[in-house]
Order: sequence, then structure tokens, then C-alpha cells
Amino acid sequence: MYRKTKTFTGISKNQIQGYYYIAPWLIGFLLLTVYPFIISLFYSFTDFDMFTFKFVGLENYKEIFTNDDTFYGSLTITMIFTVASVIGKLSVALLCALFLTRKSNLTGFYRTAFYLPSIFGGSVSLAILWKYLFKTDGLINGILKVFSISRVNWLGSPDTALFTLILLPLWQMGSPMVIFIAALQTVPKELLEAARIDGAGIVSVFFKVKLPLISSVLLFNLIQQTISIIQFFTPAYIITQGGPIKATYLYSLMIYDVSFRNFRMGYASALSWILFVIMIVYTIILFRTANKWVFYEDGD
Amino acid sequence: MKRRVMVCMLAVLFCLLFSVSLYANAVPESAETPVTIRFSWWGGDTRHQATLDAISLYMKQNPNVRIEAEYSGFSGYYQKFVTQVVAGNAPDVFQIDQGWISEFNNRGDVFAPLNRIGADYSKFTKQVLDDYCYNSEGNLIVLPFGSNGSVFVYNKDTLNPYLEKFGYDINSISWKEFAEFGGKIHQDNPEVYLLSTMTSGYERFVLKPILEQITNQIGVQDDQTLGFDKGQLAQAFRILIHLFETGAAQPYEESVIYKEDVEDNPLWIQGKVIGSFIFLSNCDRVTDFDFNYGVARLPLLEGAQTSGQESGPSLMLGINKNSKVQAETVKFANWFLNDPEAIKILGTQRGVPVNEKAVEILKNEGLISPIMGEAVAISNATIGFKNSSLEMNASVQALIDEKMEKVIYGKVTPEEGADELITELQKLFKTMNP
Amino acid sequence: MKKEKLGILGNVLMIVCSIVIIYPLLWLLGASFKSNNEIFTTQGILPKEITFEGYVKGWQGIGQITFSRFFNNSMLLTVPTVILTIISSCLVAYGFSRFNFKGKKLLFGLMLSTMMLPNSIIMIPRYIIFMRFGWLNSYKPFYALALFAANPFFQYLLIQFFRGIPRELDESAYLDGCSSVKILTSIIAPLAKASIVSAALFQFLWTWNDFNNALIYIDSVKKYPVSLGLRLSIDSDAKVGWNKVTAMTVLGMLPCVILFFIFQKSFVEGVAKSGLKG
Repeated sequence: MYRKTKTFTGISKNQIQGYYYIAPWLIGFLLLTVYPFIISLFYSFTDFDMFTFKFVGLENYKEIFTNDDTFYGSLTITMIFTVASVIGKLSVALLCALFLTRKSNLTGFYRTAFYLPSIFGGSVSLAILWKYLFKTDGLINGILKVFSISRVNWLGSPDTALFTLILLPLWQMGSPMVIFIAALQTVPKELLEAARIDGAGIVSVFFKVKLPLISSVLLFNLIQQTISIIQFFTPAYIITQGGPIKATYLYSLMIYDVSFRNFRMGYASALSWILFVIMIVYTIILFRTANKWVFYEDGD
Repeated sequence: MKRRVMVCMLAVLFCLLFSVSLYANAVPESAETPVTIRFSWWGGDTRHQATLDAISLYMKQNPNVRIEAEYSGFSGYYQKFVTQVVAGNAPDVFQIDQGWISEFNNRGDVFAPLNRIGADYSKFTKQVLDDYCYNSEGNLIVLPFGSNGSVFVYNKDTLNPYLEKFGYDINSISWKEFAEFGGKIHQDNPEVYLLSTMTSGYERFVLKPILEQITNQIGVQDDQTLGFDKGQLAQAFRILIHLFETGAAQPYEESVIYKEDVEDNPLWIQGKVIGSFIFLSNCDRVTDFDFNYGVARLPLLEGAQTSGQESGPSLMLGINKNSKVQAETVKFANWFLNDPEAIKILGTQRGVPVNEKAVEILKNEGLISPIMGEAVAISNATIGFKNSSLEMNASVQALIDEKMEKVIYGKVTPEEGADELITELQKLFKTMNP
Repeated sequence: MKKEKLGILGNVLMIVCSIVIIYPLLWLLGASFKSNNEIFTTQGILPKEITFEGYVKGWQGIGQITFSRFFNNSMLLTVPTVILTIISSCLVAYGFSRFNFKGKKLLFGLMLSTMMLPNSIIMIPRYIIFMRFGWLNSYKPFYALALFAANPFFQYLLIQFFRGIPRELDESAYLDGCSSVKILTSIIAPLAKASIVSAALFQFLWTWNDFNNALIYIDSVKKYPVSLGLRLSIDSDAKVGWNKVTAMTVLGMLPCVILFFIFQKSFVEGVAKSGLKG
């Protein structure tokens, strides 16, 4: 709050100016976010196919839940993928962060190396790279050959294809890692000293001191990464196209197909809303249980 | 200090690149009123190159016309095209698959009536036009780029010794014998397979013919009825997977990553995969290696009354009904399909032309490769059923592919697969506007 | 008091991990200089013989359209988007952090919550909206989304930073007769340079690498940015020239790498700040 409010010519001018400044966002928000949001809910109750539409009430939802095997298959695969990737990615990120908060001459180099893969985001380039790595005659199999391990059909076999995709977020764990590093660096040194004096080993120090103090950041990462990973699209689209036999048919791929191949926009909207509800429920559960394990320094 | 220098340099570089972009993206003006025609198609490199060469020639001959080529591989073309149509953004002239035509009955009329806007199809085989190119109102809505058919192309060098050794006749062989033969070959040399083809290859050139040979009719008919029952479909699945069981066909897991291009398969390149089922329009593409190749008809089921062979045009040309440059587009299309120079350049990249004059020209110029010639002859001699539009529908095909894969991977038995496919097809039909 | 050291064992472990992690990228780089045959027969990074064939042939792209076109398009797509993003983000962040108006808390909360919205929900309606405007097959959807600050991540980043700038500066400038706009441009923005650079960087990378949106909004091959161009080349090669594709893939990644190495610190700071409570 401004301390000397009387230097500003009244609240009203302040207010109006404020609105002016946030106007770009507000207009966009209403037109390009709120309106689509509401309309998509509306679409989900129709059989809109970009051309004609008819109100069908809960038909779409009914069909999804009772009559659509692909939905359940895709949802299961997406859940498996998301859980494995998020846990894997955050674990690796945290582990690396722990190492990198220790003093070393090469810390800068390590951090650069670990962060490098994440700067490419969900780019096509990375997807292509991944495809090459895991081809039957690609790099990974080549390396296995050196160790006399027989080659694996990574991309052609339904059992290994999903695993191949899970490795990608794990490899790109740079962002959460950097956040963890920043968080770990805020842990007061005195606490660590005290713990060590009390005879606590490394593991204890981690679980009893470090982890609780970075728990708010862990919560943030958990939410943010889950939201991002559950919508994983580009690599799956490019590398496996959802195959083989839908072993990697992630939810985002299904929505894309239903929207732009079958043109059932109404149905696709219903699918999107189901995903949204799942995400909301997940976030709420996380926040509720957060009271038990997240520790805020300022007692928030 | 160093960082500042780098940042400055970067900024200058950006400005430079950006202004170059603006310059490069500016379309050069031409003398007369410039007309821009958008033309879209799919294919492989050779088809792209031939088409682009033809386009360049046309632009040279017609300097006020600029043709924008929109081309890509097959994957995703359908989605893109339908999206464009629905958004009112379709190209002026486009290539589509014969099976997609029905999709547009309900999604906006995109086809200009070629019979009323001056298209020249006088040299086209009338029967083909009658069978495939008219809509229910009697308008000619597409023209066939070329005729196609499905054949078995094989590596003579690798196959002949085996033909002698095991005494089969590849030109007249049953599916059972095919599987047996392949099995023997594979036993003899575990690195060699008699067959490998793409996903759609197994569906379209193996499963479909087998099913048609069993039932003697088209599988998915235009009125949404199915021409087979669960038992027959299961039988077809069995025959299909028998090919893998005996070792005649390369394990599906291995070949599936070569999606649409058997010529990318290293085993094919090395001659270790002997044969493949393909569209004859792709003959030249897959035989572009240092071996001698031969062509044979599809295997037959004992007692079959149809060849199950797909023949007829698959690639069609259509003109956008709402094109703003329709007159110029028609002129271009006429040239593309009829002009001798164009015909020579395009060759057999889209199958053998349905245009009799075109075929003559190609024959005279020797532009039909021996193997293509053989393939056409076989295809003409063993014509099967005309495809139904509904069966060729993208969603239907995707569904059939999916269930077929499940059976091949052993995730379901042939009976279960048949059951699932029939049930899901019925469901799918319900969601489609009749 | 001393910080814990990594120790020899730790360092060795980290070195090994670093190598494992960047190996694929180095391999890709090396592969781009190999001949087609060599790519899949060797695991080493260094080619036996360095050849530029991949780059030369790959650059020629597909028929009429070379990669110079794709790169131009990516520039045309990305640069205005970044500029518009920065402008609108600064304005909006300034509004939220420096002014008090009714409903501010609510709007701020709404803005943040849009970060949680799955893309698929709003994708279709947005597509229809842009279709009605006739903006399909152009970069206008991207510009519009940037101008209207559709991605709250950037606002959030800037707001965190702006909050850290003392209000006294604002006030003294105001007393000197500066308008609020002047305060923003002359005082706040220069001080917030680090976060603005971060935001610009991220938007550049995200837009440059964007595939999902480009896929649905851009139709003509001649308007394809690099991301779609790359997909085209792995799609339509009948006899796939692997070295061509790898070379072009490397080039597609190049801007990201260059930017990263120059602005390393900003990158890391930006990411770190987004995760920590302000």
C-alpha cells in the first residue's frame, strides 16, 4: 500500500489508471480465455462438428463413460505416464539439486549440462532426436550392443514405447532442478550446522531439515509439472503417433484426433472438460493434504 | 563487458535477419494482373519433384500465374485438408483420396462441378469416370489422376533360387501356400523374409482381399452394412497372422516403424525382404535399387471368386467450388491432366493415367517402366470390387488398422478382434451422419 | 562456516552424469556431419569423415521451399510475438503491482488460475474465433495472443520483480511531475531489466519451438516455421536422408543454444524466481 495516499489525486484516478494498464490482459482474458472456456462447456453438450450442431445434453458424457474404450485406455496410459514422469522428473531434479548445492569448482559446468536439455522445451527437434536415439539401429541400441545386450525394439513394441516417452521429461529436468537449487540455498545454514552437531547423518539431514524447508517449492513443482506433463503432446505426436496399438495414445493425442480427424468438436470438448475436472480435483486434494506436509516459514 | 558486446551483436544480427525475412517474404509482382493458384497434394520426394517441375513449366508458359504448392507426406494430410475445407480455406485445386469424397457430403460442398466449368475430360476412360467421379446429382466432381491397383512386387534375384528349390509358382499361389513357402524360406535363411509391408499395406492388401475372397463382397458398404460376419472376419484374421507365424512375414514390430515407406526398410534395401504388397503407383519408388524385380498378382484363397485386388483410381483431382480464381484454376487443371509436356514430366508418379491419350504418350516415350507396365497388365487382368467410399473413410480405416494390430500383436484372439471390430464399427457409424 | 563440498566421488559422479545427459545432443551434432551410412553404424560422436552434405542438401528443403524460408518464417512469427509480449506484459504487470483498483485481488487470482487451464479446452473455441476473423493460415493468432497477454507466466514473472522495486522511486518521480507512463518506462522498466530479459527469452524459445499451435493455425507450406518444416522433412522423404534431417534439426536448435549460452544467468534466475514465493 502506498504510504502517502494523499499525494495521489484520489483513489478514482488510481483505479482508472490501473484498469487502463491491465486492459490488454483483461480484454484478451475475456475474449480469448473466458469466452472460449464457457463456450467449450457449451459445446460439450452438443454434437458440434464445426458445421452444424444440435444440443444433445449429457449424451457425449454418457458415451464417453459407458461406450468408449479408447477413452479409458488413453486415460489409463496418460495417468501412468504422468505419475511416472512427474515422480521421476522431480526425483531426479531434487537429487541433482542436492549434489549441486555442494561446493565444487565445476558447479557451473554441471548446472549448464543438466539444464541444457530443457531449453528445447517440447520442440520438434528434440522429438526427432529422441526418435533417432531409440530406433532399432539407433544410438541406444548401439550402446547396448557395446555391452553385449541384445537390441530392443524401443519404438515398435507396445511394452517399451511408453517407457521411451517417459524418459524424455526425465531428461529435461533442468527447470525444476534449478528451482530446487534456489530453494535449497535458502535453507538457513545454522539449522544444517545444528543438525550436524547433533550427529545427524546425511539422510536424516535431508528428510528432517532440508525437505520440510523446501516443501512449499516441492508443492509448486508438483502442481506445475503435473499440469504440464498431463498435456504432453508434441513428442508423442512426432515419435510414436500414439502407437503401437495405442500404447502411447496420450489424452492430448486423443483430443487432437477427435477434434481434427473425426471433427467431433462437441465430443472433444467433453473430453477436455473431463481432463480439467481431474486436474482441479488433483490440485484441491494436493492443497488440502498440503497442510500436513508443507511447511511455510511465514506461517502462511 | 563481453556480455554487452555479445548482446549488441545479437541485436544487430536479429535486426538483420528480421529485415531479410520481411524482404524474402514479399511476393514479387508480375506484369499483368497476377493470379495465384493454390495446389495441394501428398507424396514422396519423386512425386514432389515431378509435380514441381510441371508447375514450373506452366508458370513459365503463363507468366501471370503463380502457383503455390502445398505438399507434404501422407500422414496428417487428411486432417489438414478437412480442416481447411471446413474453415473455408481450401486450396483452389487439390489431390484427394477417392475414399474421402463421401466425407464431404456432409461437411460443405467443396467440389466444383467440373462438367459445368469447362474441364476437359474428353480423353478419360468413360467407365472409370462413371464409376467413381460423379456425385448423386449427376455432377462430375473429381477427375482421376491415375489408375491404381494392388500387386505383389518382389525381388527376383532373391526369390528365383527359392522358387526352384521349393517348387512354388509365385504367379498363382494361395495364401496358405504363400505362408508355407515363406516359412520354408525363412527356415532356410533366418535373415530372409518373403514379405514385409506397411501397416496400411497389411490392412489394405492382405486383410481386405482375404476378407473379400471369403465373402465375395465388399466389407464395409456405403449404406453402413457389413458384408461379413464375425466368423468370416475371424477367419481372415487367422490367415493374416498365419503369415507371421510361419515366418513368411517380417515380425510386425520390426516393420511397423517404416510406416508408409517399405523402401526405407533396411532389409528391403539389402534384398532380405523379398516382396511387398503395394499400390502399383509406387512401383518405381520401391524398386529403385540394384536388383531385378518382378510383379505378381495377389494370392488367392481356395475357391475365391474375386481377386480382392484393388483397382481403380485412388488419387483424384478436385477444384474448389469457392475458388476465387476458378477460371484460371480450370485452365491449369486441364493443362496438368492433358498437356503432352505435362504428361511426360509427371510420368507415372500418380499411377497410370486414366487418360488414354496420356497413356499413349507415355508408352511412346518409354516413360512407363517395364515393371510398372507389368503391374498394370496384371492389375487390369485381375480386377476386383470397386471400393466403397465408406470403407475408405479415414476413421473407418483407423479403426480397422487398430483392431488388426491388436490381433497381430496377440493382444486379442482373432475371434475377440473380430467381435470388437464389428461392435466398434457399428458405434462409429452411429456417430456419422448418414 | 563452510559449505559442504562435493568431494572427489561426488565430482566423478557428476561428471559422468553430465556426459550422459549431454551425449545425445553432442551425438546429434556429430551425426549432422556424418554421411548417411555412417550415422547408424557408429556410436561415436566424431564422424570418420566430416561432410557438409547434410547441411547443404538439407537446406534445400523440399522442392520449392528451402529452409531459409522456414527460418524466415520462424523469425517473422517469433520476433513480433516476443515484442508484443514484452509490451503487454509490462503494462499489465505495472497495473497489477502499482495500482489499486476494485477487484484487483480477484482478477489477479483469475489470471494466475488460467495457468492451470488445459490447452485443449480453449484450443477449439479459439480456433473457431480466429476462423471467424479470417485469421487462419497466418501468424495473427500468435500476435493477438501475445498482445493480449494470454500467457500469465510472463506477467507473473514481471510482477514478482516489480514488487521488489521500492515505491519511493515512484513517488519521488510523481512528485517531480512524471506521468505514470513515464514512471514505467523510465524507472521501473530499466530496473526490471533482468526479468524482462528473462520473459523475452522464454517467450522466444517457446514460440520458436511451438508446434501444437502452428500445426493447427498454419496451412501453407510456404508459411511454415522451422518446427513444421522439420516435421515435413521427416514425413515426406521417400528415402529418408537422415543426415539431412539431423543437420536441419541441429540448425533448428541453434538459436536456443546460442541464446542460452549468452543469457545463462537470466535463464536460471528467471526460472528460479518463478518457483519461489515472491
